[in-house]
Formats: sequence, C-alpha cells, structure tokens
Amino acid sequence: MKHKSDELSRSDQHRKDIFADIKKGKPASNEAIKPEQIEREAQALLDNYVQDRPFALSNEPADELVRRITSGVVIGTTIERLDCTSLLPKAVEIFLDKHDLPNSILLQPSAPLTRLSWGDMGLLANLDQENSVSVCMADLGIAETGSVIIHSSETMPVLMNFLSTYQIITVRKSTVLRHLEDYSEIALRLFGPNKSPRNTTLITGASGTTDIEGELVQGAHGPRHVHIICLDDQ
Amino acid sequence: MKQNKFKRNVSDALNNPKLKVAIRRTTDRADAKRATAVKNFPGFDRTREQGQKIKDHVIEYLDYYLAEFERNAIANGSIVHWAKNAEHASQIVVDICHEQGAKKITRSKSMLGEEIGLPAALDREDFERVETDLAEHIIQLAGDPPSHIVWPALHLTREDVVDLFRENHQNPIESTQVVDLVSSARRELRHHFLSADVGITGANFLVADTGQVCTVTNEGNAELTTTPPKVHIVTAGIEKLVPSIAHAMPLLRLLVRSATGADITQYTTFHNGPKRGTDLDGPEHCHIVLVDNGRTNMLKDDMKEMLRCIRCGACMNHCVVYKHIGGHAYGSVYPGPMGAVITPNIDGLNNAFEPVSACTLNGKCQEVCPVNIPLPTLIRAWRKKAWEKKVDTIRNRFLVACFSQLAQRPRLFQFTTNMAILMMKPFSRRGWIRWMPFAGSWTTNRDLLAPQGQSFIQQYQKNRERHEA
Repeated sequence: MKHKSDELSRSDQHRKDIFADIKKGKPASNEAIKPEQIEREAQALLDNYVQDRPFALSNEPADELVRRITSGVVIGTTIERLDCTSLLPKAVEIFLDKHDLPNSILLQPSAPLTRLSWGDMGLLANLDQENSVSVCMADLGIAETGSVIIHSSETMPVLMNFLSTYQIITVRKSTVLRHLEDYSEIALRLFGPNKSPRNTTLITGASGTTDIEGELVQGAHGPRHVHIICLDDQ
Repeated sequence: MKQNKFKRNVSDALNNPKLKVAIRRTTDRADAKRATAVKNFPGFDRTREQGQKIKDHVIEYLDYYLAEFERNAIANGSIVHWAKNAEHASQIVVDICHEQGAKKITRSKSMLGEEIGLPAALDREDFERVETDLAEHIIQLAGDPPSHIVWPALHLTREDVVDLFRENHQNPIESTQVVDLVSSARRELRHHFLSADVGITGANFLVADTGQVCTVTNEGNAELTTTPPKVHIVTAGIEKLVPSIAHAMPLLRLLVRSATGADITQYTTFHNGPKRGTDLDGPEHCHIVLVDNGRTNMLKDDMKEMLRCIRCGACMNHCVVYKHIGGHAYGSVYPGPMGAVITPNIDGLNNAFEPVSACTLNGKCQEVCPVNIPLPTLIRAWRKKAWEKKVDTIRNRFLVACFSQLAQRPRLFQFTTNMAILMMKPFSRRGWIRWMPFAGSWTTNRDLLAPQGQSFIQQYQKNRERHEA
C-alpha cells in the first residue's frame, strides 16, 4: 500500500508541473476567461459547421443506410429489410442456409430477441469456433457512414461482437440517425450530461486489415462478414 | 554521433532496393485512396478548417479540458495518472501490471506507447507482451521498431511475413497468400486476447465532457484488448482532448480519409472506465495515464500548431524523402515530416536535427495535412534554431557563410555562378551529370541535372534587352 501512495503523490507532483507548464505558455489575460465562455466557443464551433457534413442522397435515414451498404462501400457487409420483428428467426435461418452454416447462433440475451420463437435453432453457440454466428440488436444506426451503434449494458456483452465469423445485427428503422453528430444529442437524452455507457462502439463493416502490403483482407480478428437487418418498426 | 548515424541509415536505406518496393506498395496505394476519398467529400476543405479550429480551441484551453476530462473519467471509475516524462509514464504502467500480478499483457497499437518506450519497459520486467495489431504483431516477431505510424510493418514485404509466421506461429501455414497469412495471425492471437491479465491501448481522442477514451481500428483488436482482461490501461498524450463527442466527429472524418481513404474505420469505440454493476463483461479496473513528454514545451516554443496533429500519416505517405528512405532511417518513433517537427521536442534538437535538415520544403505535407499544420514553416523554425544554437554541422555553417558572402555581392555572385556553369559543362552527358568532383553526395544515388545553358541572371538580362529593343 505504501508503494501505491508514493506513486499517487508522485503522479500528483507531475500533475502540478504539467498544469504549471501549460499556464506558462499562456497570456495572463486568459486567466479571466470563464467556463461559460469556453463552452460557448465550443458550441459555436459545432453550429458553424452543420452544412458542410457529407450529404445524403435520400431524405429518409434508413433508406440512406440501405443505399450505402448496398452500394458496397461498407466493407464485407450486406443488408436486408424486414417488415416485422417476428420474421427475424426466419430471416436468420435463410442466412444460415445460404452460407451453409450449422443451425446454431449466439443470441444476444435481450428480451426483444429472446422472446421471439426460434424453433429448434441453437442459441448459445460457441463463438470461438470457425463459422460461428452472432445475432444482436443495435441501439442506433447512422446513415452517413452505414454504421450501427452498440452500447454495453446488462443485456449487451461487448465481446460477442468481436469473436464470431458471421455477425448479424438488427437495427430498427426509427433509430437510424442521419449524421455522426446526431448521436451526441441522442446520447445526452439516453444517459444524461457527462454520462455514457462503459462501451460505445460504432461498427461499420467487417473486421479488416491492410497491414500486409496495403492489401485489404476481411476477418482480421473479428467478423469476416456482417449482415444488417433493418426492421421496419413504424 | 547521432548525425553520422542518420547519414548511415539513409545510405543503407537507399542501397536496399527491396525497401523501396515495400514502401511504394503501401504508400502509393494510400495516396491514391486518400485522393479519391477527398474528391468524394465536397465538404473536405471546410471540415479541414473545422478540424483545425477544434484542435486550436482545445490547445488554447488545454488546462480547462484536462481538468474536465480528469473529473469525468474519475466519476466513471477510472484512476487517472499524470506523467511529465516518458520514464515516469512507463513506470506507472509497469507498477500497475505488478500490482495486478499480471503475466500476460495484450497491447493494441499506440504510437504514444512507443514514444514512452513502453514495449521495452514491459519486456525488461519479463511480462509476456503480446502486440495485437497485425502490423505490430509482425514487427514484434521481426524484432523491428515501427516504420510508419499507421502501417508499422510497411518496410516488410509479404515474403518477409511468410518467413516470420512460418518460424513463429504454432500452426504454421504453407500458403503465401495475404488472406491466409491474416488467418494464421487470427488463430495465433485469439487465445492471447482471451487469456491476458492486462490490456493496454492508446487513445485517438479523449472526450472531456464524458471522460470517454476513443480508439479507432479496422481490425477490432482494441476492443478485444480492453474487454476480456481484468485491467484496462490507457496511455495518452495530453493533446488528445476534444470538448465533446460531437467535436470528435469532424476529426474522425478527417483522420480516416487522410489515413486510409475510407469514410470511417470499421470500429470506432468510446471506452469509459471499468465494468458497471450490471454489465455482462468488461475490465474490473481502468487506469488512464496522461503523458506530457515535451508537449507543454511545444506550447511555449511556438510549436503550438504541431499539437493539432491527429497522427494520420498522410504527411509521410506524400513525402519525397520518406518515400525513399522509409521510417527507420529517421531513428525515432515518429518519422516523416511530422516526426521531423515533433522529435526535437522530445529528444532535443542536438539529437534530432538531421531529419530536419533532410527536408526539401516542397510543401506537399502541409497540403495534405487534415488539420493544416504548417509543417514546412515549423521545419524552417527548427533550422533557424539550429543555426542560432550552432547545432548543425561545421561544413554546413561554412557553406552557408560562403553563400551569405556571395549573396551580398551581386557581381561576385554572377561571376561564381557563370564559372560553375562552365566547370560543370565537361561532366554533362545528354543533359545529366553522373559524376563530378565535390558532388558525390548527390551523384552517388542519382544523376544531377546539368545546367541548361546560361544562368538565370544572364537569361533575364537578355530577355529584358530584347523587350526594350
């Protein structure tokens, strides 16, 4: 324990030195600036930028998400639309058949998914095996980049999204946002000021690498193939 | 001593034909992809201005945002450490690993980790260190330092990787296809991810108003590094702050387009502290080590603009010097134009002047910089400082002194240039000079363009007379 407190007091001294050195580089007039002014300046930076973000070809964010992924710019990713959540087990079954995969998935332990009727499909697959499949529900989608957003929670283990060979992610049409920045408003509403889940991941395609001679290969450590299912919930 | 070493490195690199092939295979591809990405995003230039403004704003109020980040990170359960220099930063990490009784440590690529000498510090303590980024895995097997900040194994060809994997992987493969090499690494690294005691990452952004730490990867190795082990340690430079997640977004647009030519990486993750009460997985402890290591000097020494750098690597992909000599010749963690400016701040100008003097000042780096850092201006500022502090070589100082004498005497200047043109004539063959006395350092590795007739002044005067006539 003594060692620990020594370290903390040393770290404290370093903290003081760093802050003192930052002050040294500044004009004295900066001292008087209030946090409100800094926040105002920070907000102004965002307000002035709105029209320069990448624009969409479609007015409807979910349509744009589908269009982007269908056009092939999102690496290793396919997308389909479903009218009704109850059709999901059938859609997963068709996916498994199409890719010649065993009738077994790891299903995210979240009520909207677990309460569906999955028939004789195994729902606790071991993701550490070749050709494993995971199925989860994303919290949000982002049209601009063709991404989905997943928050860690009591029903969303982070690891399941990084181990399987095939990853099926459902996203509700009504939760697809237009731009990356739109997420910050939603996050504020979901979690409150200064709060966030432990883990927030924007997933945009399959795990990939260009580390050997710049050549793109899918399935570096995580999924080789991502399939997005956009659920019409309106 | 270090200066001679740079010269030797450069000559070794230029005499290695394989290296040039390896460098061009990756950088040419990256240049082309970046150009397409920029063309496809009409708002790129305005986003670039925006990115510059956001970084400048943070640098202006660095102490405010550091304090805010610290407060929110602590509120989310992280322990925040501060390190003025590299040694202390590495020591903090080593101490945490010992306290946790760690044996195996996974690490996802972080240039700051390299900067503070963390890999070596962990190896000295006999931890089993596993680099999880594919390129870092390759160079760990090769025993090489990184040669690029985005593609650390860029100096190695596929053939090199084949040999390394055959020698080192548990189930070596016969294939020489890149796709099979990647699968081999996937198999090799998977069990390390799941059995590590500590996972270490860097940070692309630190979000002040939530305490989140953002990592950007295509492989997903950062998430696999931070989730299974019981401890997550973040090492980050103090300039990585952004006010909020919304401010990180334009910078992400710039970073990824400039680095790889994509719109966004496959995984953009915001980590925040240890596992919450009801979470199904995640680390039990989270430590964040905030590192200065020369950054506050950059505030004072009017190198402020360099603190905008988001480590995309575009400046080196487009640098004529980097493309010829590669990353290792620079002898520091940060190569290329951004390295030439940053390294003297960390290692001192005495030890890092030669890369500064190697720059051609063609300005390409600033042109492609996503946050508009005036790299040529900053490089010139270091040259000026080197002149004032007499850091550059005596030969250089002598030649500059000669030039300054000549430049102040127009007639002598003209006479000398005319003489030089005459003297060079006998050595020219079809417009090029292959060898000439006193020009060896140029002509060893390339031909010198022969003078095309008269000097500029002679041609200028002749033209003026013609116009007046």
